[in-house]
Amino acid sequence: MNRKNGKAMVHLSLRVNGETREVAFAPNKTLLEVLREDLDLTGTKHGCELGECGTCTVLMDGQPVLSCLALGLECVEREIVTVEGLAEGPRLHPLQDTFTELGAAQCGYCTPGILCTAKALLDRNPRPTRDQIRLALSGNLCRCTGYIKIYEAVELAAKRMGEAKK
Amino acid sequence: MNPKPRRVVGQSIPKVDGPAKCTGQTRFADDLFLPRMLHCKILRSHLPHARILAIDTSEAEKTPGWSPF
Repeated sequence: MNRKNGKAMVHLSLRVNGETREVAFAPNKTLLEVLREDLDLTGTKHGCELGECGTCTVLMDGQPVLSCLALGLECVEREIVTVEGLAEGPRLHPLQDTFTELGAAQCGYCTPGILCTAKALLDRNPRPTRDQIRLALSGNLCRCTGYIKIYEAVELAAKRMGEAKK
Repeated sequence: MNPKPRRVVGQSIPKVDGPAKCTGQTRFADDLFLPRMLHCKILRSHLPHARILAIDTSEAEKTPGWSPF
């Protein structure tokens, strides 16, 4: 461990959004803090920072994880995907399109966490029922939309992704 | 009498801020990092109803990096 300004730092390679990123940070930093402050990926938001709201959700090896409760150190050799990594270059993920079209994002603060959770759902269950969507997103709180448009956007994205495969 | 169709009211208008919010590009206040920016911590009253007679900042002033606002 090195010291910078008297503070211990770890130097690591992290896999984030398909890239290997070299980063140095204090060992007690959460993944949320490392993403936002050291990797300049501010798409993932601070919510409650207690693990109750889901705002900070990112994907770790394809699974939704609360980044406010993960240490940056824990993420070595894991594939991290944030909202910034959902698009492929200029092509948005179908979820990002449907959330815009259907008004599933209003203030947009919960949206990054919800998109990550929804992407993980569709990756493992390409044709979820409304109840399955509701259950999968039950850990992501939204104060603006009342959730209905969010469910509709997930359903429309699933429908389009299914049609694209044919 | 049928009202004539309006340009905005009653129409489905594209959400121009949608893509930026869905890609994480929209900068909220907490996403801004400026040179020499200060960070604040709020001290809330432990009393539900009271009159402020004085504010003692002496303990806060001992914090490294403290700045008079």
